[in-house]
Amino acid sequence: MTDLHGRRDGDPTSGQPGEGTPQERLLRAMLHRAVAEVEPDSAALPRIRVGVPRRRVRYRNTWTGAAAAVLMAAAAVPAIQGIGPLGLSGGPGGDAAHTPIHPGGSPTGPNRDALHSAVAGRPADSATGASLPADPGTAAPSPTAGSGSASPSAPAQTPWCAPADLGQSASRLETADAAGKVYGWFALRNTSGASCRVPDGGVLRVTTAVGSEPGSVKVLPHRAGDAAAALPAPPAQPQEVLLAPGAWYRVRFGWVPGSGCTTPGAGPSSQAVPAVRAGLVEPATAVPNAAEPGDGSSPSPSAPASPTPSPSPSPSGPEPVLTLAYAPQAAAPQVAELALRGSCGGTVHQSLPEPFGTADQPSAPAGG
Amino acid sequence: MGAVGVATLPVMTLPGAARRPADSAVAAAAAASGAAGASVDQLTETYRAHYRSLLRLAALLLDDLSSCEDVVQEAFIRVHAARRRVREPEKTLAYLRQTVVNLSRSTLRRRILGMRLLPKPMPDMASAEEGAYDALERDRLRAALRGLQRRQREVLVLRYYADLTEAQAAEVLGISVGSVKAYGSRGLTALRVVMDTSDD
Repeated sequence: MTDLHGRRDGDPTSGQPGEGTPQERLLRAMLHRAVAEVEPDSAALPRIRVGVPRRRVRYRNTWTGAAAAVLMAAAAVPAIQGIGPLGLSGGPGGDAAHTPIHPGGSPTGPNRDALHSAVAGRPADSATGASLPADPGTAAPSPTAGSGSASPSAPAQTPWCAPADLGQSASRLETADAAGKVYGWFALRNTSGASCRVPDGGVLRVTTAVGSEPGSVKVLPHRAGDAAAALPAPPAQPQEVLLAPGAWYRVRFGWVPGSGCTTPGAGPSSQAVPAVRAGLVEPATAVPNAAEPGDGSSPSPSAPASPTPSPSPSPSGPEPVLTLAYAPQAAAPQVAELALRGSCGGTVHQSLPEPFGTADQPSAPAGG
Repeated sequence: MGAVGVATLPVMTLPGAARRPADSAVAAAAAASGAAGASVDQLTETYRAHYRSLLRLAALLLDDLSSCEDVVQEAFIRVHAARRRVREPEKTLAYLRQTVVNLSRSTLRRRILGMRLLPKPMPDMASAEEGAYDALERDRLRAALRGLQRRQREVLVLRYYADLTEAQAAEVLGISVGSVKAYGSRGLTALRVVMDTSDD
């Protein structure tokens, strides 16, 4: 019975079940015999019956709680500024509540630890449910900062956002200021059905640098007092950004051209023409809006400048262009790209991820 | 909704078997169980058709029966709580199987981390000579499976217990077909060695 030495008279790993070498057939029979006496517990079906609606309620509560926290945070800042509360009519639909599971039921979801508690009939809020801001009264952050929905209480149990959880990239490039500095941002949305934490180490890269000396373009983290003065000062304590389903975060940057950089053309306004290239994963079609955190239906503010016409004729050779790309993690594919025309050597200062799309309006001057 | 005893699960109710001509296996299993009356809700149908085989699949991946029940029940709850999943009944089994494999993996990891490695014995039903013989083989096979690398065991169980093709196993495990081939052939070799050494 234990003779597993089968003659291999065929492809031993053929894809057809029911066939194979004698060894495989023997193994198949042994496996079936080994568990032939395993029978379901008679209480299994009743448990599942109770568990399914309970789980649905939990998903719904999770989603509702997170959305309420975002709305509370969004309402807090305008209240200070004397702006009325947000309209709620454009609230997101309930679809997120219906699809909370990552494909494949991977145990990386928020229910990672709910296995036994759910089966045992306890409401599984000990590990994950309570970790989400289910109570808007306590989850509303102190209304002092502009970035209202930063969640210093983001629990460690909430999983990191996987690259697949983040999508719908948006980006924006402001008009260059008098010194030729250009500010902009990349934003990403939690497109999964579950809350997640924005991972550290989002990466801004210079993907192409036409007309620049190699090594003359650097990407540095933004620090207080550096040349990208219009970026917000980095927080003293690293803050985690907790993204509810449908919520956005963004990473700001400031481009500071180098001193020895001679630009073709004339005025600074023509030096940096935002040319939002379509995001590599999804085009930058929407930008978060304060009133509709789940909808994102406001038009993109960045002028989708046609990539072909050059704002000013280059005197010689190709026009210098820097292309910046953002990826949420070093290993993740980049999701958005921006072209800085007329730029050569210089430094990109990158801010930390911040919540976006609630009451937080871009602090950089409007334009672009 | 018209289903019996499923007031709490209105979305899963199927008005009739005619809506699911593709899933003849489920329908056949439900009919074979003799309980397919006028209408049976989808959860019950899926349970009847697949719960036992998924439980046995988990039993080969894990080793104590209580964990297997937990894993399969949790898989059922997860898959059926996501309405999008059960809108495509022909994919439900694949979702369930994949969730069982993933949960078995994390359960195993948790048990290892928790140093709870003492396997609970399977319920012993072997008393006759024939049964004792089977029990011996069963125990040796299960011990041998436990000795394999996790991936090898998963590939062997999916290929030879669940009768998946290499491509299907690759999809469940999230690896390439080539890896399935490699794990499978190495697993067979390793299993043979283990069974041979315990054969003396």
